[in-house]
Order: sequence, then structure tokens, then C-alpha cells
Amino acid sequence: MNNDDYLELDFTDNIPDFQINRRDFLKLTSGVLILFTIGDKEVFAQQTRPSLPTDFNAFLRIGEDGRVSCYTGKIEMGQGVHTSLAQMLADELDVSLDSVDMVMGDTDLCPWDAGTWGSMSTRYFGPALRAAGAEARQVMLQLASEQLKTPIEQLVIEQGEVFDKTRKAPRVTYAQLTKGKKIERHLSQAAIKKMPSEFKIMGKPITRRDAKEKVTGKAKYTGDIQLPGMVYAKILRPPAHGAKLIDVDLLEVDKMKDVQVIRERDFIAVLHKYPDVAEIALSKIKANYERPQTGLDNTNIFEHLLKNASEGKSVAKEGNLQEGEHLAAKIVDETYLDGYKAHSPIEPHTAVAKIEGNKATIWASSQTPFSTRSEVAKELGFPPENVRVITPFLGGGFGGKGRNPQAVEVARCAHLSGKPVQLVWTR
Amino acid sequence: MEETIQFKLNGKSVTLTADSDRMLLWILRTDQGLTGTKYGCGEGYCGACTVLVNDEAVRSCQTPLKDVRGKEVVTIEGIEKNETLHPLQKAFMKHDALQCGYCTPGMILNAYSFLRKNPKPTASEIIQGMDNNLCRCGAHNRIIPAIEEAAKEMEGGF
Repeated sequence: MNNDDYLELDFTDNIPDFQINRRDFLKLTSGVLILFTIGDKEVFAQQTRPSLPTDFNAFLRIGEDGRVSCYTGKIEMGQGVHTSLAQMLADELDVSLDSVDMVMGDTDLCPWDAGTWGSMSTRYFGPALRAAGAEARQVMLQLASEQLKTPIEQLVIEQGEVFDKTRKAPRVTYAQLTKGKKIERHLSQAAIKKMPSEFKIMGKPITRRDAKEKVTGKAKYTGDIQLPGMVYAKILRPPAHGAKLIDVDLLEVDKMKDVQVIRERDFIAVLHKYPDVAEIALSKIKANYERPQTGLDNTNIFEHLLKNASEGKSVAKEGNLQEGEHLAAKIVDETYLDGYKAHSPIEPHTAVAKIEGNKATIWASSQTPFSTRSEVAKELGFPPENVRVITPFLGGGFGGKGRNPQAVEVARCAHLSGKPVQLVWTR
Repeated sequence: MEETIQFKLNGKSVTLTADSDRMLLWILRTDQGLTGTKYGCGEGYCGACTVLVNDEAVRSCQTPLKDVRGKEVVTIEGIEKNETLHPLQKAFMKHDALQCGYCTPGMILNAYSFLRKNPKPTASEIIQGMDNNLCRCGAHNRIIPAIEEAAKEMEGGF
């Protein structure tokens, strides 16, 4: 299987809804800015995504304070890129790991990204980030060469300080070099990256950067976002796929104190400042549904699935199955059947929405903050740039958080109620 | 039933007037703002909501407020002593015994309770003692040595 076949397996309809306004974006930054594109553009081109930004989709910045920031739409869900990407950048740039900040998964701050899945952050983003780091390092060497009046070949860098290797002093820091400057580079070809033998930070065991927050309970996940006046939503769910709401009795729930019921056609939710009270309120709704007559049950579902399965597809073809069978010492021929398995990261799908005027801010446990933004914008009828999606730490994703209907639902709740709302899916 | 309930929370006395049938998980997360205690399943299966009640690990999503009346509740925010990490917290960091970190507070508090009963456990006793706390990422094999190391450092002391 070609490694890039991954791309076809998931989220192929995930395309950007607008390109970042580069001129406005660049106004915001000073220091040294390296713009780059994640992954092999050829691969993306093959996926026929005409609206993919070909300009750049990640950047790094060395600020006047000497801090290095990497802005990317990738997210941290336990796979550890919050740490490993920072390691790559620090190593290529010759700065300490502590001076690198990763700004991730915020659609207002980070350029468009398709999403985080398929073990692709390290494979695609890693080399691009390292090349950008190497390019930035070259820029720093050029600046230092001018300032120290020393040829580049004679300069070395240690922890963000540049000096003449024959003299060791004077030293000039990245912060001093970038002060008052605005240098923009667009990484067009692969800069020369370090060889593994030169790595000082990569490949060395270090404590993950979010470990302390996570062992002390301070790490913020979406469900930990609490806003003034925020209420928790519980949504009335149908008992089966395709079930239709016939009638609903809200009398009991209407009697409950401080519970708000919102309704838009068959979308019904209850809101309360405590999620457990909202849960009780939900249980008091009496709803009648018409279930679709499928004629399917636990015994005939497998036959149905086989009959209706889409045409199979080969992703790799090698060897000869029949020959192999002849060579086998023992042949086991069995059919194994299993029930439906829900996708269950330990953190359930969660989102928080705050709507002010025609602007929405969404916190979501999402592997795809940018398509989450598109979906929310479409639901609310807002232009995408009026929706900001912020991705706190995810409590696991495993592909299951590539789709985020909970973000759309919570946006509806916030819109209908006029309050900030949090929604956590139950199991 | 609405009543006034007093208990100790992370070393401080707390008095609450609330429906005493409400589950401790939500009292901690919303009223008290202690979000280190996580909601995972709400049914007592996963252990993400584990807290200590009189040093015993309990599932806070299944523990009504009235059950902690006059007792001592400790959450992940309360096991540091004098701003020093607890040996379990240090060992989890050192052994990379976490990935997404969502199960971690519950893991640490369950390990705490387990080590009180069995201060010198074998690896297989640790596996048994931690079996009902779920992690989907795959930190299990690093959680075991983390607990072993913390047990050695603690030598039965907490």
C-alpha cells in the first residue's frame, strides 16, 4: 500500500472555505517570519482540492523577545506532537526547547489545515517544520554575520546565541537580531536540514511538555471551559436511526425551576447551569417517535450488511492467494460476527459555544478545527471568518473526532438560547 | 433533597446547600470549579472521575453528595503537598505514563488508594489494582513502572 493512500481513506471532503487574508495577517507580526506548506504539494494536488491554499499553511515566527512560535492547525490529542514538533523546531533552530511555543488548532491564529489524523503530523508536518527551522536559522546567521562583521562560515549558534567560533565573544542573541525588524521568507525549496548525528534535542528522551499540567489536573480540555452565565445542554435523541418525532410533552420539564427548553422543529434541548440537572430535565420529556420499519434485527443484520455493502476495493495486490492456501499446513475457515462498536475515546465529544452578535467562538474537542468552523458557520448562517474554533487538549481522538456534530449542536443551542452553552455527549 | 452538607475538600472545610442526591462529580466540576476530576462515562465504568473519600478511591459520578457528609474528599488538585508534586505525579511524568492525560487524574488517585492498602505491590498486583481504570491511548505499560517507582519512593508514607 502506498503510504499516501491514507489520504483517501478519510475526510476527503475536507476543503478550506476561504483563504487567509495574507496582507491582514502579516500586519500582525514582526520579527522573522517563515511561511511554509505542510507536506508534499504534489500529493495534495492529486487529491483534486482546487481551493487548498498553495501559499502556505503553517508558519513560524521568531519574535523580538527571542521566543519562537510555531502556528499550525494541528491539534494535540495525546499523540505528543505538542512536544515532538517543538523538539524538531528547537533542534533545527539551535534554541532551547523552553523557548519554543506551539500555537495549535486555533482558527483565528493559525493558517488553514486539513486536520490531524492518519499519523501524518510527524511524517508530513515534521519535515516541513524542520526545513522552516533550518531556513530561519540561515536568516539568523545572515543577520549575525552583518552585525558581527564575520563570515557566516565562521559563526556558530548555541541556544539562540550566535558567535564567532574562533573567539566565543561577542555573542548576539536571536532577540537582539530580530529587534525592530520584519523579515518574511517563503520556504520554496527544502532547506538543508540537520543530519541525525547533529541532533541535540530530537531523539532524546524528554518529559512531554504537557505532562505536569496533566498530572496535576490543570490541563484544560473542552469540558473544562466554564464561561460566565454558561449553561449545559442535553439533547433529546431519537430511539433509532431515522425515527420521526410524532409528539412531545414538555409539561413536566416546564415545571422545573431554572430549566430552559429550546426547540427548533424536532431539535429539542434542555439547558441548566448544572449538567446533571439538565439530564434529569431531559428524562422528564415524554416523546413519541415513529420508528422506521426496517425488518432488521440482531440475527439478519449481517446478511443485510453483506448484501448492501459497497463494492470492495484493492489498495494493494501481491502474491497469489490460491498458491498460498496450498502451502498452508492448516486452514481455518470461520465466520466471526460482532456487534456495533461505538468510537470511544475517554473524553466524549464535547463543545462550548459563545455567540455575540454575528460572531461565534467555539471550543471543541476536534481533530479538524477548520472544517468544524465551516460546519458551524453554515449552520448559523455566519461567514466562516466570523466563527473562531479553539481546540483545547483532546482526551484522545483516534479519528473519531474528525467529525464534530456536537459543535454544530452546541452552536444551535447557544443561538436559540442566547447563552453560552456547553454540550458533552453521553456514552 | 435540598440540605446543608459539610465535608472536607482538599484539606479545607466546605459547607454546601444543595440537592444531596446530586453526584459528587458535578458538585466538584461545576460548583467547586475543580475540573481535574473528569467525566468519562457517567456510569462508573471508566474511572476518569475517581476521587478519594477518606483515602478510598471512589467513582465520583456514582457518589451522591450526601455520602461524603463529614468525610474527607481529595481530588487531583489536592494531592500536592506544599506545592511539591506527589511521588505518584512525579513518577507518572518521569515514566511518560500518560498521553492525552484525560484518564490520568483518576489513574493517580486510584493508584494512591491502592498503595495505601498494598504499599509494596508486585507488577501483577498493580495490573489487578488498576484494571478498572480505562486508558484508551496505550499508557498502561508505562503506568505500571510509574506506580512501582512511586511505591518505592513512598515506602508506605503518603
